[in-house]
Amino acid sequence: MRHGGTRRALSALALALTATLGVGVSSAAAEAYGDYLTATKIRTGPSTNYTAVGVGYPGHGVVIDYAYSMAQNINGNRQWNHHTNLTTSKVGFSSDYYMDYEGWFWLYL
Amino acid sequence: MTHVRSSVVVCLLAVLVSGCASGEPTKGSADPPPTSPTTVTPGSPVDLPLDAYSGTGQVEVLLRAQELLLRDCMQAKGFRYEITNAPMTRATGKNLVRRPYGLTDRAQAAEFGYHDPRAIAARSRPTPTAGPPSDAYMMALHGYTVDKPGTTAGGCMKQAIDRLSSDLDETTATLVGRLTEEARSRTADDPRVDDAVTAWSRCMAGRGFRYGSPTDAESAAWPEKPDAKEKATAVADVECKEETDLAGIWSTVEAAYQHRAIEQNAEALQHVRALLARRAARAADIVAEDTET
Repeated sequence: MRHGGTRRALSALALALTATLGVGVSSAAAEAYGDYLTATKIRTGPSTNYTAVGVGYPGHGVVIDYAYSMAQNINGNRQWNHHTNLTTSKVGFSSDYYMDYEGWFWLYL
Repeated sequence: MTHVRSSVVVCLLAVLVSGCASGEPTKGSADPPPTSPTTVTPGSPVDLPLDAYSGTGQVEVLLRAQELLLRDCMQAKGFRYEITNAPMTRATGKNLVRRPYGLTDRAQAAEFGYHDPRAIAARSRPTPTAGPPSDAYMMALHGYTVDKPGTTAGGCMKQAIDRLSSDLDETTATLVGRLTEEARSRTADDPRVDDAVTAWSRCMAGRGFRYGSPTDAESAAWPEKPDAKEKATAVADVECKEETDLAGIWSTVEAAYQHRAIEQNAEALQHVRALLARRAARAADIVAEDTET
Protein backbone atom coordinates (compact mmCIF):
# COMPACT_ATOMS: atom_id res chain seq x y z
CA MET A 1 0.00 0.00 0.00
CA ARG A 2 1.48 3.32 -1.02
CA HIS A 3 1.81 5.96 1.74
CA GLY A 4 1.79 9.72 1.25
CA GLY A 5 1.13 13.01 2.99
CA THR A 6 2.30 16.60 3.07
CA ARG A 7 5.92 17.31 3.87
CA ARG A 8 4.90 19.44 6.81
CA ALA A 9 2.83 16.66 8.37
CA LEU A 10 5.60 14.14 7.81
CA SER A 11 8.25 16.47 9.24
CA ALA A 12 6.12 17.00 12.33
CA LEU A 13 5.73 13.26 12.70
CA ALA A 14 9.45 12.76 12.30
CA LEU A 15 10.13 15.33 15.03
CA ALA A 16 7.69 13.59 17.35
CA LEU A 17 9.25 10.22 16.71
CA THR A 18 12.76 11.54 17.23
CA ALA A 19 11.69 13.13 20.53
CA THR A 20 10.13 9.87 21.63
CA LEU A 21 12.87 7.56 20.47
CA GLY A 22 15.88 9.75 21.22
CA VAL A 23 18.56 10.90 18.83
CA GLY A 24 20.37 8.12 16.92
CA VAL A 25 18.50 5.29 18.64
CA SER A 26 17.43 2.58 16.18
CA SER A 27 15.12 4.58 13.96
CA ALA A 28 14.63 2.94 10.59
CA ALA A 29 13.24 3.80 7.20
CA ALA A 30 12.48 1.70 4.18
CA GLU A 31 13.90 2.01 0.69
CA ALA A 32 13.18 0.31 -2.63
CA TYR A 33 15.73 -1.55 -4.72
CA GLY A 34 15.57 -1.90 -8.49
CA ASP A 35 16.96 -0.87 -11.84
CA TYR A 36 16.43 1.40 -14.85
CA LEU A 37 14.23 0.22 -17.73
CA THR A 38 16.15 2.20 -20.34
CA ALA A 39 18.74 5.00 -20.50
CA THR A 40 17.40 7.50 -17.97
CA LYS A 41 18.65 10.94 -17.04
CA ILE A 42 19.26 11.59 -13.35
CA ARG A 43 18.17 15.13 -12.54
CA THR A 44 18.50 17.59 -9.69
CA GLY A 45 14.70 17.94 -9.46
CA PRO A 46 11.48 16.11 -10.39
CA SER A 47 11.03 17.25 -13.98
CA THR A 48 12.85 17.54 -17.29
CA ASN A 49 13.40 21.22 -16.54
CA TYR A 50 16.07 20.32 -14.01
CA THR A 51 19.74 19.76 -14.78
CA ALA A 52 20.89 16.23 -15.53
CA VAL A 53 23.83 15.11 -13.35
CA GLY A 54 24.23 11.75 -15.07
CA VAL A 55 22.54 8.93 -16.93
CA GLY A 56 21.45 5.58 -15.53
CA TYR A 57 21.31 2.45 -17.67
CA PRO A 58 19.77 -1.01 -17.21
CA GLY A 59 22.18 -3.07 -15.14
CA HIS A 60 23.34 -0.20 -12.92
CA GLY A 61 20.92 -0.86 -10.06
CA VAL A 62 19.18 1.80 -7.93
CA VAL A 63 18.10 2.45 -4.36
CA ILE A 64 15.08 4.76 -4.10
CA ASP A 65 14.80 6.66 -0.83
CA TYR A 66 11.80 8.94 -1.43
CA ALA A 67 9.61 10.28 -4.22
CA TYR A 68 7.24 13.05 -5.21
CA SER A 69 3.87 11.85 -6.41
CA MET A 70 2.52 14.91 -8.26
CA ALA A 71 5.42 15.97 -10.42
CA GLN A 72 5.77 16.12 -14.22
CA ASN A 73 3.58 13.67 -16.12
CA ILE A 74 5.52 11.09 -18.12
CA ASN A 75 3.16 8.72 -20.00
CA GLY A 76 0.52 9.01 -17.31
CA ASN A 77 2.98 8.61 -14.44
CA ARG A 78 3.49 11.68 -12.24
CA GLN A 79 5.86 10.10 -9.76
CA TRP A 80 9.54 11.04 -9.75
CA ASN A 81 11.88 8.94 -7.62
CA HIS A 82 14.84 10.30 -5.69
CA HIS A 83 17.48 7.61 -5.84
CA THR A 84 21.11 6.58 -5.90
CA ASN A 85 22.68 4.94 -8.95
CA LEU A 86 24.58 1.98 -7.46
CA THR A 87 27.22 1.92 -10.21
CA THR A 88 28.06 5.59 -10.77
CA SER A 89 27.05 6.88 -7.28
CA LYS A 90 25.03 9.67 -8.89
CA VAL A 91 22.06 10.87 -6.85
CA GLY A 92 18.95 12.62 -8.15
CA PHE A 93 15.48 12.26 -9.60
CA SER A 94 14.24 10.15 -12.50
CA SER A 95 10.72 9.47 -13.73
CA ASP A 96 9.09 6.43 -12.15
CA TYR A 97 8.07 5.43 -15.69
CA TYR A 98 11.64 4.47 -16.45
CA MET A 99 12.35 2.50 -13.25
CA ASP A 100 11.43 -0.94 -11.95
CA TYR A 101 11.73 -1.82 -8.27
CA GLU A 102 10.30 -3.57 -5.24
CA GLY A 103 10.08 -2.16 -1.76
CA TRP A 104 8.69 0.87 0.02
CA PHE A 105 9.76 4.45 0.43
CA TRP A 106 8.21 7.69 1.57
CA LEU A 107 6.03 9.43 -0.97
CA TYR A 108 5.57 13.19 -0.67
CA LEU A 109 2.96 15.20 -2.56
CA MET B 1 5.18 -8.47 -48.19
CA THR B 2 4.01 -11.16 -45.81
CA HIS B 3 5.66 -11.28 -42.40
CA VAL B 4 5.70 -14.66 -40.70
CA ARG B 5 5.01 -14.54 -36.99
CA SER B 6 6.76 -17.05 -34.81
CA SER B 7 8.56 -17.17 -31.50
CA VAL B 8 11.31 -14.67 -30.82
CA VAL B 9 14.53 -15.43 -32.66
CA VAL B 10 17.19 -12.88 -33.44
CA CYS B 11 19.62 -14.15 -36.02
CA LEU B 12 23.11 -13.11 -35.10
CA LEU B 13 25.65 -11.86 -37.57
CA ALA B 14 28.81 -13.97 -37.40
CA VAL B 15 31.34 -11.35 -38.45
CA LEU B 16 34.16 -11.02 -35.97
CA VAL B 17 36.37 -8.00 -36.14
CA SER B 18 38.63 -7.19 -33.23
CA GLY B 19 38.31 -3.68 -31.99
CA CYS B 20 40.26 -1.59 -29.52
CA ALA B 21 38.74 1.17 -27.40
CA SER B 22 39.61 2.80 -24.11
CA GLY B 23 36.04 3.39 -22.96
CA GLU B 24 34.89 5.83 -25.62
CA PRO B 25 32.81 4.17 -28.36
CA THR B 26 34.63 3.45 -31.61
CA LYS B 27 32.68 4.84 -34.53
CA GLY B 28 32.87 2.87 -37.77
CA SER B 29 31.22 2.95 -41.16
CA ALA B 30 28.08 5.01 -41.54
CA ASP B 31 26.67 2.53 -44.07
CA PRO B 32 23.64 0.61 -42.78
CA PRO B 33 24.80 -2.86 -41.69
CA PRO B 34 23.34 -5.96 -43.34
CA THR B 35 20.69 -7.84 -41.37
CA SER B 36 19.10 -11.23 -41.09
CA PRO B 37 15.30 -11.29 -40.80
CA THR B 38 13.79 -11.61 -37.37
CA THR B 39 10.32 -11.59 -35.87
CA VAL B 40 9.05 -10.34 -32.54
CA THR B 41 6.25 -11.94 -30.55
CA PRO B 42 3.92 -9.11 -29.49
CA GLY B 43 4.27 -8.28 -25.80
CA SER B 44 7.32 -10.48 -25.35
CA PRO B 45 10.77 -9.30 -24.31
CA VAL B 46 13.37 -8.96 -27.05
CA ASP B 47 16.99 -9.93 -26.48
CA LEU B 48 19.50 -7.68 -28.20
CA PRO B 49 23.25 -8.38 -28.50
CA LEU B 50 24.49 -5.66 -26.13
CA ASP B 51 22.19 -6.93 -23.35
CA ALA B 52 24.82 -9.59 -22.63
CA TYR B 53 27.30 -6.88 -21.61
CA SER B 54 24.91 -4.71 -19.60
CA GLY B 55 25.03 -6.43 -16.22
CA THR B 56 21.23 -6.75 -16.04
CA GLY B 57 21.60 -10.46 -15.26
CA GLN B 58 23.61 -9.60 -12.13
CA VAL B 59 21.45 -6.83 -10.73
CA GLU B 60 19.61 -9.04 -8.26
CA VAL B 61 22.77 -10.23 -6.45
CA LEU B 62 24.19 -6.68 -6.58
CA LEU B 63 21.09 -5.28 -4.89
CA ARG B 64 21.08 -7.99 -2.23
CA ALA B 65 24.71 -7.38 -1.36
CA GLN B 66 24.14 -3.62 -1.30
CA GLU B 67 21.27 -4.05 1.15
CA LEU B 68 23.35 -6.22 3.50
CA LEU B 69 26.29 -3.81 3.47
CA LEU B 70 23.94 -0.91 4.26
CA ARG B 71 22.38 -2.83 7.12
CA ASP B 72 25.79 -3.57 8.66
CA CYS B 73 27.03 0.00 8.23
CA MET B 74 23.88 1.55 9.69
CA GLN B 75 23.87 -0.86 12.62
CA ALA B 76 27.45 0.15 13.37
CA LYS B 77 26.19 3.76 13.55
CA GLY B 78 23.34 2.84 15.88
CA PHE B 79 20.49 2.76 13.36
CA ARG B 80 18.20 0.00 12.16
CA TYR B 81 18.01 -0.71 8.42
CA GLU B 82 15.12 -2.87 7.26
CA ILE B 83 15.92 -5.81 5.02
CA THR B 84 13.37 -7.11 2.53
CA ASN B 85 13.35 -10.71 1.35
CA ALA B 86 11.21 -9.97 -1.69
CA PRO B 87 12.74 -10.14 -5.19
CA MET B 88 14.40 -6.84 -5.96
CA THR B 89 13.19 -6.63 -9.53
CA ARG B 90 10.12 -8.32 -10.83
CA ALA B 91 10.56 -11.44 -12.89
CA THR B 92 8.64 -9.81 -15.68
CA GLY B 93 10.78 -6.69 -15.52
CA LYS B 94 12.14 -7.43 -18.94
CA ASN B 95 8.67 -6.97 -20.39
CA LEU B 96 8.76 -3.45 -19.08
CA VAL B 97 11.97 -2.48 -20.88
CA ARG B 98 11.11 0.69 -22.76
CA ARG B 99 11.66 -0.24 -26.39
CA PRO B 100 11.88 2.67 -28.84
CA TYR B 101 8.93 1.49 -30.96
CA GLY B 102 6.60 1.59 -27.95
CA LEU B 103 3.62 -0.58 -27.06
CA THR B 104 3.31 -4.10 -28.43
CA ASP B 105 0.91 -5.59 -25.88
CA ARG B 106 -2.66 -5.44 -27.17
CA ALA B 107 -4.24 -6.31 -23.81
CA GLN B 108 -2.30 -3.53 -22.07
CA ALA B 109 -3.25 -1.09 -24.84
CA ALA B 110 -6.94 -1.99 -24.52
CA GLU B 111 -6.97 -1.50 -20.75
CA PHE B 112 -4.52 1.34 -20.16
CA GLY B 113 -4.01 3.05 -23.51
CA TYR B 114 -0.55 4.67 -23.40
CA HIS B 115 -0.65 5.14 -19.63
CA ASP B 116 1.81 3.33 -17.41
CA PRO B 117 -0.23 0.48 -15.86
CA ARG B 118 1.86 0.69 -12.70
CA ALA B 119 0.81 4.28 -12.11
CA ILE B 120 -2.83 3.27 -12.30
CA ALA B 121 -2.76 -0.01 -10.41
CA ALA B 122 -1.51 0.21 -6.82
CA ARG B 123 1.86 -1.39 -6.18
CA SER B 124 2.07 -3.77 -3.26
CA ARG B 125 4.70 -2.68 -0.81
CA PRO B 126 5.82 -3.88 2.60
CA THR B 127 4.17 -2.08 5.50
CA PRO B 128 6.54 0.45 7.07
CA THR B 129 7.40 0.00 10.71
CA ALA B 130 8.77 3.46 11.34
CA GLY B 131 8.03 7.05 10.46
CA PRO B 132 9.70 9.07 7.73
CA PRO B 133 13.49 9.22 7.91
CA SER B 134 15.03 11.73 10.33
CA ASP B 135 17.82 14.04 9.20
CA ALA B 136 20.25 12.09 11.36
CA TYR B 137 19.20 8.84 9.71
CA MET B 138 19.47 10.28 6.21
CA MET B 139 22.91 11.76 6.92
CA ALA B 140 24.18 8.43 8.23
CA LEU B 141 22.72 6.49 5.32
CA HIS B 142 23.10 8.89 2.41
CA GLY B 143 25.23 11.80 3.52
CA TYR B 144 22.36 14.22 2.75
CA THR B 145 18.87 15.10 3.98
CA VAL B 146 15.53 15.29 2.16
CA ASP B 147 15.65 19.11 2.39
CA LYS B 148 19.20 19.30 1.02
CA PRO B 149 19.83 16.29 -1.19
CA GLY B 150 23.23 16.01 -2.85
CA THR B 151 24.12 14.78 -6.35
CA THR B 152 26.53 12.02 -5.32
CA ALA B 153 26.26 9.25 -2.75
CA GLY B 154 27.68 9.72 0.76
CA GLY B 155 27.47 8.00 4.13
CA CYS B 156 26.90 4.26 4.25
CA MET B 157 25.61 4.25 0.67
CA LYS B 158 28.96 5.44 -0.64
CA GLN B 159 30.85 2.93 1.46
CA ALA B 160 28.74 0.08 0.11
CA ILE B 161 29.05 1.23 -3.50
CA ASP B 162 32.83 1.61 -3.14
CA ARG B 163 33.11 -1.91 -1.69
CA LEU B 164 31.24 -3.38 -4.66
CA SER B 165 31.98 -1.12 -7.65
CA SER B 166 35.14 0.88 -6.93
CA ASP B 167 36.94 -0.42 -10.05
CA LEU B 168 34.09 0.64 -12.33
CA ASP B 169 34.80 4.26 -13.31
CA GLU B 170 31.92 6.18 -14.85
CA THR B 171 33.23 6.00 -18.43
CA THR B 172 33.59 2.22 -18.25
CA ALA B 173 30.31 1.77 -16.38
CA THR B 174 28.34 3.67 -19.01
CA LEU B 175 30.04 2.28 -22.15
CA VAL B 176 27.41 -0.38 -22.86
CA GLY B 177 24.60 2.09 -22.28
CA ARG B 178 26.17 4.66 -24.60
CA LEU B 179 26.77 2.08 -27.32
CA THR B 180 23.16 0.95 -26.95
CA GLU B 181 21.86 4.48 -27.30
CA GLU B 182 24.09 5.15 -30.30
CA ALA B 183 22.85 1.98 -32.03
CA ARG B 184 19.29 3.01 -31.23
CA SER B 185 19.80 6.44 -32.69
CA ARG B 186 21.27 4.99 -35.92
CA THR B 187 18.38 2.56 -36.08
CA ALA B 188 15.84 5.37 -35.87
CA ASP B 189 17.51 7.03 -38.88
CA ASP B 190 17.91 3.83 -40.90
CA PRO B 191 15.92 3.82 -44.19
CA ARG B 192 14.61 0.31 -43.48
CA VAL B 193 13.09 1.49 -40.20
CA ASP B 194 11.89 4.68 -41.84
CA ASP B 195 10.01 2.59 -44.44
CA ALA B 196 8.48 0.44 -41.69
CA VAL B 197 7.35 3.53 -39.74
CA THR B 198 5.83 4.95 -42.93
CA ALA B 199 3.95 1.70 -43.47
CA TRP B 200 2.75 1.85 -39.86
CA SER B 201 1.57 5.43 -40.30
CA ARG B 202 -0.32 4.43 -43.47
CA CYS B 203 -1.96 1.55 -41.59
CA MET B 204 -3.00 3.91 -38.78
CA ALA B 205 -4.42 6.39 -41.30
CA GLY B 206 -6.45 3.56 -42.83
CA ARG B 207 -8.05 3.11 -39.42
CA GLY B 208 -8.72 6.80 -38.98
CA PHE B 209 -5.72 7.73 -36.81
CA ARG B 210 -3.23 10.29 -38.12
CA TYR B 211 0.23 9.94 -36.58
CA GLY B 212 3.63 10.04 -38.24
CA SER B 213 5.25 7.61 -35.81
CA PRO B 214 4.50 5.52 -32.69
CA THR B 215 6.29 8.17 -30.63
CA ASP B 216 3.90 10.83 -31.90
CA ALA B 217 0.93 8.69 -30.86
CA GLU B 218 2.37 7.81 -27.46
CA SER B 219 3.31 11.38 -26.58
CA ALA B 220 0.05 13.00 -27.74
CA ALA B 221 -1.83 15.11 -25.17
CA TRP B 222 -3.77 12.28 -23.53
CA PRO B 223 -5.98 12.98 -20.49
CA GLU B 224 -4.92 12.20 -16.90
CA LYS B 225 -6.76 8.88 -17.09
CA PRO B 226 -7.01 6.83 -20.30
CA ASP B 227 -10.25 7.42 -22.16
CA ALA B 228 -11.90 5.48 -24.99
CA LYS B 229 -10.09 7.47 -27.67
CA GLU B 230 -6.67 6.84 -26.17
CA LYS B 231 -7.37 3.12 -25.77
CA ALA B 232 -8.66 2.81 -29.33
CA THR B 233 -5.57 4.60 -30.63
CA ALA B 234 -3.23 2.41 -28.61
CA VAL B 235 -4.96 -0.77 -29.81
CA ALA B 236 -4.73 0.38 -33.42
CA ASP B 237 -1.08 1.22 -32.81
CA VAL B 238 -0.32 -2.33 -31.62
CA GLU B 239 -2.32 -3.93 -34.43
CA CYS B 240 -0.59 -1.84 -37.07
CA LYS B 241 2.78 -2.77 -35.61
CA GLU B 242 1.81 -6.42 -36.02
CA GLU B 243 0.53 -5.88 -39.53
CA THR B 244 3.70 -4.08 -40.67
CA ASP B 245 6.10 -6.04 -38.41
CA LEU B 246 7.51 -2.70 -37.27
CA ALA B 247 8.85 -4.16 -34.01
CA GLY B 248 10.51 -7.05 -35.85
CA ILE B 249 12.11 -4.82 -38.45
CA TRP B 250 13.22 -2.31 -35.82
CA SER B 251 14.72 -5.04 -33.62
CA THR B 252 16.48 -6.64 -36.57
CA VAL B 253 18.10 -3.40 -37.65
CA GLU B 254 18.94 -2.42 -34.06
CA ALA B 255 20.54 -5.84 -33.50
CA ALA B 256 22.67 -5.32 -36.59
CA TYR B 257 23.90 -1.93 -35.38
CA GLN B 258 24.59 -3.42 -31.96
CA HIS B 259 26.59 -6.24 -33.55
CA ARG B 260 28.68 -3.70 -35.39
CA ALA B 261 29.25 -1.79 -32.14
CA ILE B 262 30.34 -5.01 -30.43
CA GLU B 263 32.77 -5.81 -33.24
CA GLN B 264 34.26 -2.32 -33.14
CA ASN B 265 34.56 -2.19 -29.35
CA ALA B 266 35.32 -5.83 -28.62
CA GLU B 267 38.28 -5.29 -26.30
CA ALA B 268 36.61 -2.58 -24.24
CA LEU B 269 33.43 -4.63 -23.92
CA GLN B 270 35.35 -7.70 -22.77
CA HIS B 271 36.97 -5.47 -20.12
CA VAL B 272 33.54 -4.24 -18.97
CA ARG B 273 32.23 -7.78 -18.87
CA ALA B 274 35.19 -8.89 -16.74
CA LEU B 275 34.69 -6.01 -14.28
CA LEU B 276 30.97 -6.73 -13.97
CA ALA B 277 31.69 -10.42 -13.39
CA ARG B 278 34.17 -9.49 -10.66
CA ARG B 279 31.57 -7.24 -9.05
CA ALA B 280 28.96 -9.99 -9.19
CA ALA B 281 31.40 -12.41 -7.56
CA ARG B 282 32.10 -9.90 -4.77
CA ALA B 283 28.37 -9.44 -4.27
CA ALA B 284 27.74 -13.19 -4.22
CA ASP B 285 30.44 -13.63 -1.56
CA ILE B 286 28.81 -10.97 0.64
CA VAL B 287 25.40 -12.62 0.29
CA ALA B 288 26.82 -16.09 0.95
CA GLU B 289 28.70 -14.87 4.04
CA ASP B 290 25.53 -13.41 5.46
CA THR B 291 23.60 -16.62 4.83
CA GLU B 292 26.22 -18.63 6.71
CA THR B 293 26.25 -16.42 9.86
